[in-house]
Amino acid sequence: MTQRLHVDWIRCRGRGICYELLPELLEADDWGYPLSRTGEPRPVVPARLQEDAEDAVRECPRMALRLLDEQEPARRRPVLPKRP
Amino acid sequence: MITELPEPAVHRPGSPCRPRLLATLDADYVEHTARLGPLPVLGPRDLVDLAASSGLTGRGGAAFPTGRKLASLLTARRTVVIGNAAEGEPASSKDELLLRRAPHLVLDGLLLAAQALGGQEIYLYGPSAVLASSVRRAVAEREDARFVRLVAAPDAFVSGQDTAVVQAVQGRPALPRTNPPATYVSGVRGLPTLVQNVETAAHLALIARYGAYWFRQAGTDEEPGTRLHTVSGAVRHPGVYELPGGASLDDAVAAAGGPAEALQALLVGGYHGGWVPWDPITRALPLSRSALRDYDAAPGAGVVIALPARRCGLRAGADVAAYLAGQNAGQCGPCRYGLPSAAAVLERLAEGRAGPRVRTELDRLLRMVDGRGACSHPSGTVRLIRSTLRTFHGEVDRHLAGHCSAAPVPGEVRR
Repeated sequence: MTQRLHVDWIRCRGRGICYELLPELLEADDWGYPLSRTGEPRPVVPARLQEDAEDAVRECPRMALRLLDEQEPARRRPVLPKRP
Repeated sequence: MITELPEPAVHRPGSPCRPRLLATLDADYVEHTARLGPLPVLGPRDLVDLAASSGLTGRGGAAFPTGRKLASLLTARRTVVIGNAAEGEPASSKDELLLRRAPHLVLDGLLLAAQALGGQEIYLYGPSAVLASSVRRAVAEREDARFVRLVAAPDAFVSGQDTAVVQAVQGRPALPRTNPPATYVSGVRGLPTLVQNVETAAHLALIARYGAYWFRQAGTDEEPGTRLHTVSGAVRHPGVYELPGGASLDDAVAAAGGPAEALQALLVGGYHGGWVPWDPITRALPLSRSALRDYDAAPGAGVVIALPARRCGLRAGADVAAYLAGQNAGQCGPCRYGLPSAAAVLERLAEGRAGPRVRTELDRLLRMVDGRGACSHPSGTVRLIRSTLRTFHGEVDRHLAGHCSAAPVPGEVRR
Protein backbone atom coordinates (compact mmCIF):
# COMPACT_ATOMS: atom_id res chain seq x y z
CA MET A 1 0.00 0.00 0.00
CA THR A 2 1.21 3.48 -0.84
CA GLN A 3 2.38 5.42 2.14
CA ARG A 4 2.92 9.10 2.72
CA LEU A 5 5.42 10.77 4.97
CA HIS A 6 3.74 12.93 7.57
CA VAL A 7 5.56 15.45 9.73
CA ASP A 8 4.08 16.29 13.12
CA TRP A 9 4.96 19.98 12.96
CA ILE A 10 4.32 20.55 16.63
CA ARG A 11 6.95 17.97 17.56
CA CYS A 12 9.46 18.79 14.83
CA ARG A 13 12.35 21.03 15.89
CA GLY A 14 14.31 20.79 12.66
CA ARG A 15 17.05 18.46 13.91
CA GLY A 16 17.60 17.38 10.31
CA ILE A 17 18.10 13.61 10.54
CA CYS A 18 15.21 13.03 8.14
CA TYR A 19 16.56 15.02 5.23
CA GLU A 20 19.97 13.43 5.71
CA LEU A 21 18.43 9.95 5.48
CA LEU A 22 15.92 10.85 2.76
CA PRO A 23 17.65 13.42 0.55
CA GLU A 24 15.61 12.38 -2.49
CA LEU A 25 12.36 13.20 -0.70
CA LEU A 26 13.28 15.98 1.71
CA GLU A 27 15.50 19.03 1.91
CA ALA A 28 15.99 21.71 4.54
CA ASP A 29 13.95 24.90 4.35
CA ASP A 30 15.31 28.34 5.32
CA TRP A 31 14.88 27.54 9.00
CA GLY A 32 16.12 23.94 9.01
CA TYR A 33 12.75 22.19 8.88
CA PRO A 34 12.18 19.31 6.45
CA LEU A 35 10.70 20.50 3.15
CA SER A 36 9.15 18.04 0.73
CA ARG A 37 10.85 18.14 -2.68
CA THR A 38 7.64 17.15 -4.47
CA GLY A 39 5.73 20.19 -3.26
CA GLU A 40 3.09 18.03 -1.53
CA PRO A 41 2.92 18.60 2.22
CA ARG A 42 2.83 14.79 2.70
CA PRO A 43 5.00 13.28 -0.05
CA VAL A 44 4.35 9.76 -1.33
CA VAL A 45 7.15 7.37 -0.38
CA PRO A 46 8.37 5.46 -3.48
CA ALA A 47 8.86 1.73 -2.89
CA ARG A 48 12.64 1.95 -3.29
CA LEU A 49 12.79 4.52 -0.47
CA GLN A 50 10.49 2.61 1.87
CA GLU A 51 13.31 1.31 4.07
CA ASP A 52 15.02 4.70 4.26
CA ALA A 53 11.70 6.26 5.19
CA GLU A 54 11.19 3.72 7.96
CA ASP A 55 14.71 4.47 9.20
CA ALA A 56 13.94 8.18 9.23
CA VAL A 57 10.77 7.57 11.23
CA ARG A 58 12.76 5.48 13.73
CA GLU A 59 15.71 7.84 13.94
CA CYS A 60 13.86 11.13 14.40
CA PRO A 61 14.93 12.31 17.86
CA ARG A 62 11.65 14.17 18.27
CA MET A 63 9.53 11.25 17.01
CA ALA A 64 7.88 13.72 14.68
CA LEU A 65 7.70 11.52 11.57
CA ARG A 66 5.03 9.00 10.69
CA LEU A 67 4.10 6.94 7.68
CA LEU A 68 0.41 7.22 6.89
CA ASP A 69 -1.41 4.82 4.63
CA GLU A 70 -2.82 6.53 1.58
CA GLN A 71 -6.37 5.36 2.34
CA GLU A 72 -8.40 7.38 4.76
CA PRO A 73 -5.48 9.26 6.28
CA ALA A 74 -7.73 11.13 8.69
CA ARG A 75 -9.61 8.15 10.04
CA ARG A 76 -6.73 5.93 11.04
CA ARG A 77 -5.37 6.51 14.42
CA PRO A 78 -1.66 5.84 14.04
CA VAL A 79 0.15 4.09 16.84
CA LEU A 80 2.57 6.61 18.24
CA PRO A 81 5.77 5.73 19.97
CA LYS A 82 5.81 6.72 23.64
CA ARG A 83 7.32 10.08 24.45
CA PRO A 84 10.93 9.85 25.60
CA MET B 1 -16.93 43.17 19.12
CA ILE B 2 -20.51 42.79 18.08
CA THR B 3 -22.09 44.97 15.49
CA GLU B 4 -25.70 45.78 16.22
CA LEU B 5 -28.31 44.59 13.85
CA PRO B 6 -30.20 47.46 12.36
CA GLU B 7 -32.76 45.10 10.89
CA PRO B 8 -32.06 41.39 10.60
CA ALA B 9 -33.49 40.42 7.29
CA VAL B 10 -33.04 37.94 4.54
CA HIS B 11 -32.63 39.92 1.41
CA ARG B 12 -32.87 38.79 -2.17
CA PRO B 13 -34.33 41.17 -4.71
CA GLY B 14 -37.23 39.61 -6.54
CA SER B 15 -37.55 36.60 -4.25
CA PRO B 16 -38.06 37.65 -0.69
CA CYS B 17 -37.07 35.02 1.81
CA ARG B 18 -37.89 35.25 5.46
CA PRO B 19 -35.22 35.18 8.14
CA ARG B 20 -34.92 31.87 9.96
CA LEU B 21 -32.13 31.95 12.53
CA LEU B 22 -32.81 35.62 13.14
CA ALA B 23 -36.61 35.33 13.05
CA THR B 24 -37.03 35.19 16.81
CA LEU B 25 -34.55 37.27 18.73
CA ASP B 26 -34.21 37.76 22.46
CA ALA B 27 -36.86 35.16 23.23
CA ASP B 28 -36.88 33.46 26.63
CA TYR B 29 -37.42 29.71 26.73
CA VAL B 30 -41.19 29.96 27.07
CA GLU B 31 -41.50 32.21 24.05
CA HIS B 32 -38.94 30.16 22.13
CA THR B 33 -40.88 26.90 22.54
CA ALA B 34 -44.21 28.64 22.02
CA ARG B 35 -43.01 29.93 18.66
CA LEU B 36 -41.10 26.91 17.41
CA GLY B 37 -42.75 24.04 19.26
CA PRO B 38 -40.92 21.55 21.43
CA LEU B 39 -37.58 20.12 20.37
CA PRO B 40 -38.23 16.76 18.67
CA VAL B 41 -36.41 13.66 19.86
CA LEU B 42 -34.52 12.02 17.01
CA GLY B 43 -32.77 8.68 16.76
CA PRO B 44 -29.22 8.63 15.46
CA ARG B 45 -30.21 7.44 11.97
CA ASP B 46 -32.98 10.01 11.67
CA LEU B 47 -30.65 12.83 12.63
CA VAL B 48 -27.98 11.78 10.14
CA ASP B 49 -30.55 11.30 7.36
CA LEU B 50 -32.13 14.68 8.02
CA ALA B 51 -28.80 16.49 8.10
CA ALA B 52 -27.58 14.71 4.96
CA SER B 53 -30.74 15.28 2.91
CA SER B 54 -30.93 18.92 3.94
CA GLY B 55 -27.47 19.51 2.47
CA LEU B 56 -26.45 21.50 5.54
CA THR B 57 -22.73 22.25 5.70
CA GLY B 58 -20.58 23.43 8.60
CA ARG B 59 -20.81 27.19 9.08
CA GLY B 60 -17.53 27.58 10.93
CA GLY B 61 -15.65 28.03 7.68
CA ALA B 62 -14.68 24.62 6.33
CA ALA B 63 -18.16 23.82 4.93
CA PHE B 64 -17.83 20.11 5.70
CA PRO B 65 -21.16 18.32 5.10
CA THR B 66 -22.87 18.06 8.49
CA GLY B 67 -24.54 14.75 7.63
CA ARG B 68 -21.17 13.12 6.97
CA LYS B 69 -19.67 14.52 10.14
CA LEU B 70 -22.57 13.20 12.21
CA ALA B 71 -22.47 9.85 10.40
CA SER B 72 -18.84 9.35 11.35
CA LEU B 73 -19.93 9.39 15.01
CA LEU B 74 -22.70 6.80 14.56
CA THR B 75 -20.60 3.82 15.54
CA ALA B 76 -19.27 5.42 18.71
CA ARG B 77 -20.81 4.25 21.95
CA ARG B 78 -19.94 7.42 23.86
CA THR B 79 -19.37 10.81 22.34
CA VAL B 80 -18.70 14.37 23.39
CA VAL B 81 -20.55 17.27 21.79
CA ILE B 82 -19.06 20.77 21.66
CA GLY B 83 -20.74 23.89 20.30
CA ASN B 84 -18.02 26.13 18.90
CA ALA B 85 -18.61 29.88 18.98
CA ALA B 86 -14.93 30.93 19.04
CA GLU B 87 -14.76 33.14 15.99
CA GLY B 88 -11.21 34.36 16.53
CA GLU B 89 -11.71 36.27 13.33
CA PRO B 90 -12.01 39.98 14.16
CA ALA B 91 -14.32 40.53 11.17
CA SER B 92 -16.86 37.90 12.25
CA SER B 93 -19.52 38.39 14.87
CA LYS B 94 -22.36 36.13 13.76
CA ASP B 95 -21.68 33.34 16.27
CA GLU B 96 -21.54 35.80 19.14
CA LEU B 97 -24.74 37.39 17.87
CA LEU B 98 -26.48 34.00 17.89
CA LEU B 99 -25.36 33.31 21.46
CA ARG B 100 -26.44 36.76 22.55
CA ARG B 101 -29.82 36.90 20.86
CA ALA B 102 -30.86 33.33 20.01
CA PRO B 103 -29.11 31.10 22.57
CA HIS B 104 -32.01 28.63 22.81
CA LEU B 105 -31.70 27.76 19.14
CA VAL B 106 -28.03 26.90 19.66
CA LEU B 107 -28.75 24.89 22.81
CA ASP B 108 -31.51 23.02 20.92
CA GLY B 109 -29.07 21.98 18.21
CA LEU B 110 -26.43 20.76 20.66
CA LEU B 111 -28.93 18.85 22.82
CA LEU B 112 -30.43 17.28 19.71
CA ALA B 113 -27.05 16.02 18.52
CA ALA B 114 -25.99 14.85 21.97
CA GLN B 115 -29.28 13.05 22.51
CA ALA B 116 -29.11 11.24 19.16
CA LEU B 117 -25.42 10.36 19.31
CA GLY B 118 -25.20 9.26 22.92
CA GLY B 119 -23.29 12.36 23.89
CA GLN B 120 -22.80 12.30 27.62
CA GLU B 121 -20.93 15.54 27.82
CA ILE B 122 -22.00 18.77 26.18
CA TYR B 123 -19.88 21.89 26.08
CA LEU B 124 -20.50 25.35 24.74
CA TYR B 125 -17.26 27.13 23.92
CA GLY B 126 -17.27 30.85 23.17
CA PRO B 127 -16.41 34.39 24.27
CA SER B 128 -16.66 34.66 28.06
CA ALA B 129 -18.79 37.83 28.13
CA VAL B 130 -21.65 36.31 26.20
CA LEU B 131 -21.42 32.99 28.07
CA ALA B 132 -21.71 34.84 31.37
CA SER B 133 -24.77 36.82 30.30
CA SER B 134 -27.29 35.56 27.75
CA VAL B 135 -26.09 31.95 27.59
CA ARG B 136 -26.02 31.49 31.35
CA ARG B 137 -29.51 32.95 31.54
CA ALA B 138 -30.76 30.65 28.78
CA VAL B 139 -29.23 27.55 30.37
CA ALA B 140 -30.90 28.42 33.67
CA GLU B 141 -34.27 28.69 31.97
CA ARG B 142 -34.44 25.09 30.80
CA GLU B 143 -34.20 21.80 32.60
CA ASP B 144 -32.68 19.88 29.67
CA ALA B 145 -29.62 22.15 29.43
CA ARG B 146 -28.41 21.85 33.00
CA PHE B 147 -25.54 19.54 31.99
CA VAL B 148 -24.22 21.93 29.36
CA ARG B 149 -20.82 23.16 30.49
CA LEU B 150 -19.69 26.61 29.43
CA VAL B 151 -16.04 27.03 28.48
CA ALA B 152 -14.51 30.46 27.78
CA ALA B 153 -12.59 30.80 24.53
CA PRO B 154 -9.53 33.06 24.52
CA ASP B 155 -9.62 35.88 22.01
CA ALA B 156 -7.07 34.46 19.59
CA PHE B 157 -7.34 33.66 15.90
CA VAL B 158 -6.48 29.96 16.17
CA SER B 159 -8.56 29.24 19.30
CA GLY B 160 -11.51 28.13 17.17
CA GLN B 161 -9.63 25.39 15.27
CA ASP B 162 -11.35 22.16 16.26
CA THR B 163 -8.26 20.56 17.78
CA ALA B 164 -7.71 23.73 19.86
CA VAL B 165 -11.33 23.60 20.99
CA VAL B 166 -10.84 20.04 22.24
CA GLN B 167 -7.76 21.16 24.17
CA ALA B 168 -9.56 24.09 25.77
CA VAL B 169 -12.46 21.93 26.89
CA GLN B 170 -9.95 19.73 28.72
CA GLY B 171 -8.58 22.73 30.57
CA ARG B 172 -5.43 23.07 28.47
CA PRO B 173 -4.26 26.07 26.44
CA ALA B 174 -6.48 26.54 23.38
CA LEU B 175 -3.80 25.62 20.86
CA PRO B 176 -4.22 23.43 17.77
CA ARG B 177 -2.94 19.86 17.88
CA THR B 178 -1.71 17.59 15.13
CA ASN B 179 -4.35 16.09 12.88
CA PRO B 180 -4.73 13.08 12.37
CA PRO B 181 -6.38 11.87 14.45
CA ALA B 182 -9.44 13.94 13.58
CA THR B 183 -11.49 15.11 16.56
CA TYR B 184 -14.45 12.99 15.49
CA VAL B 185 -12.20 9.95 15.83
CA SER B 186 -10.36 10.97 18.97
CA GLY B 187 -11.13 14.19 20.77
CA VAL B 188 -11.86 14.96 24.41
CA ARG B 189 -10.03 12.31 26.50
CA GLY B 190 -9.77 10.15 23.39
CA LEU B 191 -13.55 10.00 22.91
CA PRO B 192 -15.05 10.67 19.50
CA THR B 193 -15.97 14.34 19.65
CA LEU B 194 -18.36 16.40 17.60
CA VAL B 195 -17.09 19.97 17.31
CA GLN B 196 -19.90 21.87 15.73
CA ASN B 197 -20.15 25.55 14.88
CA VAL B 198 -23.07 27.15 16.75
CA GLU B 199 -24.72 28.42 13.57
CA THR B 200 -24.68 24.86 12.22
CA ALA B 201 -26.27 23.68 15.47
CA ALA B 202 -28.96 26.36 15.20
CA HIS B 203 -29.81 25.28 11.64
CA LEU B 204 -30.03 21.69 12.84
CA ALA B 205 -32.55 22.72 15.50
CA LEU B 206 -34.81 24.15 12.80
CA ILE B 207 -34.29 21.28 10.35
CA ALA B 208 -35.31 18.81 13.09
CA ARG B 209 -38.61 20.68 13.43
CA TYR B 210 -39.43 21.59 9.85
CA GLY B 211 -37.55 19.02 7.78
CA ALA B 212 -34.92 18.88 5.07
CA TYR B 213 -37.31 19.95 2.32
CA TRP B 214 -38.18 23.12 4.20
CA PHE B 215 -34.46 23.88 4.65
CA ARG B 216 -33.90 23.63 0.90
CA GLN B 217 -36.71 26.04 0.11
CA ALA B 218 -34.20 28.81 0.68
CA GLY B 219 -30.92 28.97 -1.18
CA THR B 220 -29.71 26.96 -4.15
CA ASP B 221 -28.94 23.29 -4.75
CA GLU B 222 -25.27 23.98 -4.17
CA GLU B 223 -25.75 26.23 -1.14
CA PRO B 224 -29.07 25.21 0.42
CA GLY B 225 -30.67 27.05 3.32
CA THR B 226 -29.75 30.43 4.70
CA ARG B 227 -26.42 31.66 6.00
CA LEU B 228 -25.35 34.38 8.41
CA HIS B 229 -22.97 36.95 6.97
CA THR B 230 -20.98 39.53 8.88
CA VAL B 231 -20.68 42.43 6.45
CA SER B 232 -18.24 45.18 7.38
CA GLY B 233 -15.90 47.76 5.89
CA ALA B 234 -17.14 50.47 3.54
CA VAL B 235 -20.86 49.67 3.76
CA ARG B 236 -23.56 51.91 5.20
CA HIS B 237 -24.75 49.58 7.94
CA PRO B 238 -22.13 47.03 8.98
CA GLY B 239 -23.74 44.10 10.77
CA VAL B 240 -24.87 40.50 10.68
CA TYR B 241 -27.35 39.57 7.95
CA GLU B 242 -29.10 36.35 7.10
CA LEU B 243 -29.07 35.66 3.37
CA PRO B 244 -30.23 32.70 1.32
CA GLY B 245 -27.41 30.42 0.15
CA GLY B 246 -26.06 31.50 -3.20
CA ALA B 247 -27.05 35.16 -2.72
CA SER B 248 -24.78 37.43 -4.73
CA LEU B 249 -21.98 39.64 -3.47
CA ASP B 250 -24.24 42.53 -4.43
CA ASP B 251 -26.99 41.11 -2.18
CA ALA B 252 -24.60 40.97 0.77
CA VAL B 253 -23.50 44.57 0.29
CA ALA B 254 -27.10 45.71 -0.35
CA ALA B 255 -28.28 43.96 2.84
CA ALA B 256 -25.80 46.13 4.74
CA GLY B 257 -27.27 49.29 3.25
CA GLY B 258 -25.14 49.37 0.11
CA PRO B 259 -21.65 50.78 -0.40
CA ALA B 260 -20.77 53.75 1.79
CA GLU B 261 -18.45 54.96 -0.97
CA ALA B 262 -16.92 53.64 -4.19
CA LEU B 263 -15.60 50.10 -3.68
CA GLN B 264 -12.73 48.26 -5.34
CA ALA B 265 -12.90 44.74 -3.86
CA LEU B 266 -14.49 42.51 -1.24
CA LEU B 267 -12.58 40.21 1.06
CA VAL B 268 -14.81 37.13 1.05
CA GLY B 269 -14.46 34.32 3.58
CA GLY B 270 -12.57 36.37 6.14
CA TYR B 271 -8.89 36.75 6.84
CA HIS B 272 -8.20 33.26 5.47
CA GLY B 273 -10.31 34.03 2.42
CA GLY B 274 -9.73 35.77 -0.88
CA TRP B 275 -10.31 39.13 -2.52
CA VAL B 276 -12.93 39.46 -5.24
CA PRO B 277 -12.71 42.64 -7.34
CA TRP B 278 -15.85 44.78 -7.21
CA ASP B 279 -17.02 45.40 -10.77
CA PRO B 280 -20.34 45.07 -12.61
CA ILE B 281 -19.65 41.42 -13.48
CA THR B 282 -18.08 40.09 -10.30
CA ARG B 283 -20.59 41.74 -8.00
CA ALA B 284 -23.27 39.47 -9.47
CA LEU B 285 -21.29 36.35 -8.49
CA PRO B 286 -23.13 34.12 -6.01
CA LEU B 287 -21.63 33.47 -2.59
CA SER B 288 -20.98 29.83 -3.41
CA ARG B 289 -17.88 27.68 -3.40
CA SER B 290 -17.91 26.97 -7.15
CA ALA B 291 -18.47 30.59 -8.20
CA LEU B 292 -15.71 31.91 -5.95
CA ARG B 293 -13.19 29.14 -6.64
CA ASP B 294 -11.38 31.20 -9.27
CA TYR B 295 -10.70 33.79 -6.58
CA ASP B 296 -9.56 31.17 -4.07
CA ALA B 297 -12.42 32.41 -1.90
CA ALA B 298 -15.48 30.69 -0.40
CA PRO B 299 -18.40 31.82 1.76
CA GLY B 300 -16.55 30.24 4.71
CA ALA B 301 -17.88 31.62 7.97
CA GLY B 302 -19.80 34.31 6.09
CA VAL B 303 -17.37 37.21 6.41
CA VAL B 304 -17.56 39.95 3.79
CA ILE B 305 -15.34 43.05 4.10
CA ALA B 306 -15.75 45.90 1.63
CA LEU B 307 -12.55 47.69 0.60
CA PRO B 308 -13.09 51.27 -0.60
CA ALA B 309 -11.55 52.41 -3.88
CA ARG B 310 -9.51 55.11 -2.17
CA ARG B 311 -7.52 52.59 -0.10
CA CYS B 312 -4.45 50.75 -1.29
CA GLY B 313 -5.19 47.03 -1.67
CA LEU B 314 -1.61 46.12 -0.82
CA ARG B 315 -1.79 48.13 2.37
CA ALA B 316 -5.04 46.36 3.33
CA GLY B 317 -3.55 42.93 2.51
CA ALA B 318 -0.32 43.68 4.36
CA ASP B 319 -2.25 44.73 7.46
CA VAL B 320 -4.24 41.50 7.48
CA ALA B 321 -1.09 39.43 6.83
CA ALA B 322 0.74 41.17 9.69
CA TYR B 323 -2.15 40.46 12.03
CA LEU B 324 -2.28 36.79 10.99
CA ALA B 325 1.49 36.39 11.29
CA GLY B 326 1.24 37.72 14.84
CA GLN B 327 -1.53 35.24 15.60
CA ASN B 328 0.54 32.14 14.86
CA ALA B 329 0.61 29.89 17.89
CA GLY B 330 4.39 29.48 17.82
CA GLN B 331 4.12 25.70 17.76
CA CYS B 332 5.11 24.76 14.22
CA GLY B 333 8.41 26.01 12.81
CA PRO B 334 7.45 26.87 9.22
CA CYS B 335 4.45 28.91 10.41
CA ARG B 336 6.31 30.51 13.31
CA TYR B 337 9.23 31.70 11.18
CA GLY B 338 7.71 31.76 7.71
CA LEU B 339 4.60 33.86 8.31
CA PRO B 340 6.41 36.82 9.91
CA SER B 341 9.01 36.70 7.10
CA ALA B 342 6.36 36.69 4.38
CA ALA B 343 4.31 39.40 6.12
CA ALA B 344 7.43 41.56 6.42
CA VAL B 345 8.15 41.27 2.69
CA LEU B 346 4.55 42.22 1.89
CA GLU B 347 4.86 45.16 4.28
CA ARG B 348 7.99 46.36 2.47
CA LEU B 349 6.08 46.14 -0.80
CA ALA B 350 3.12 48.07 0.62
CA GLU B 351 5.49 50.77 1.84
CA GLY B 352 7.09 50.98 -1.60
CA ARG B 353 10.46 49.76 -0.35
CA ALA B 354 10.58 46.40 -2.13
CA GLY B 355 12.98 45.51 -4.90
CA PRO B 356 12.09 44.08 -8.32
CA ARG B 357 12.53 40.48 -7.16
CA VAL B 358 9.83 40.76 -4.51
CA ARG B 359 7.33 38.51 -6.32
CA THR B 360 9.88 35.70 -6.62
CA GLU B 361 10.96 36.07 -3.02
CA LEU B 362 7.40 36.05 -1.70
CA ASP B 363 6.51 33.04 -3.84
CA ARG B 364 9.51 31.13 -2.49
CA LEU B 365 8.61 31.98 1.12
CA LEU B 366 4.95 31.11 0.68
CA ARG B 367 5.79 27.70 -0.76
CA MET B 368 7.87 27.05 2.36
CA VAL B 369 4.86 27.73 4.58
CA ASP B 370 1.87 26.36 2.65
CA GLY B 371 0.44 23.20 4.21
CA ARG B 372 3.25 22.89 6.72
CA GLY B 373 1.61 23.10 10.11
CA ALA B 374 -0.72 21.23 12.42
CA CYS B 375 -3.69 23.46 11.62
CA SER B 376 -4.97 25.51 8.71
CA HIS B 377 -3.41 28.79 9.84
CA PRO B 378 -0.32 28.70 7.60
CA SER B 379 -2.28 27.67 4.48
CA GLY B 380 -5.04 30.19 5.15
CA THR B 381 -2.55 33.01 5.53
CA VAL B 382 -0.68 31.96 2.39
CA ARG B 383 -4.00 32.04 0.53
CA LEU B 384 -4.68 35.60 1.70
CA ILE B 385 -1.23 36.85 0.67
CA ARG B 386 -1.39 35.16 -2.75
CA SER B 387 -4.86 36.58 -3.29
CA THR B 388 -3.59 40.06 -2.39
CA LEU B 389 -0.75 39.84 -4.93
CA ARG B 390 -3.07 38.47 -7.63
CA THR B 391 -5.98 40.86 -7.11
CA PHE B 392 -3.87 43.98 -6.75
CA HIS B 393 -1.18 43.03 -9.31
CA GLY B 394 -1.46 46.45 -10.95
CA GLU B 395 -0.83 48.03 -7.57
CA VAL B 396 2.26 45.82 -7.13
CA ASP B 397 3.66 47.22 -10.38
CA ARG B 398 2.88 50.78 -9.31
CA HIS B 399 4.54 50.26 -5.94
CA LEU B 400 7.62 48.81 -7.61
CA ALA B 401 7.76 51.99 -9.70
CA GLY B 402 7.48 54.09 -6.55
CA HIS B 403 3.81 55.02 -6.86
CA CYS B 404 0.59 54.10 -5.14
CA SER B 405 -2.86 54.68 -6.59
CA ALA B 406 -4.13 55.59 -3.14
CA ALA B 407 -1.56 58.34 -2.76
CA PRO B 408 -2.66 61.88 -3.65
CA VAL B 409 0.68 62.73 -5.24
CA PRO B 410 2.44 60.24 -7.53
CA GLY B 411 5.68 59.12 -5.98
CA GLU B 412 4.40 59.25 -2.46
CA VAL B 413 3.33 55.99 -0.88
CA ARG B 414 0.73 56.58 1.76
CA ARG B 415 0.05 54.28 4.65
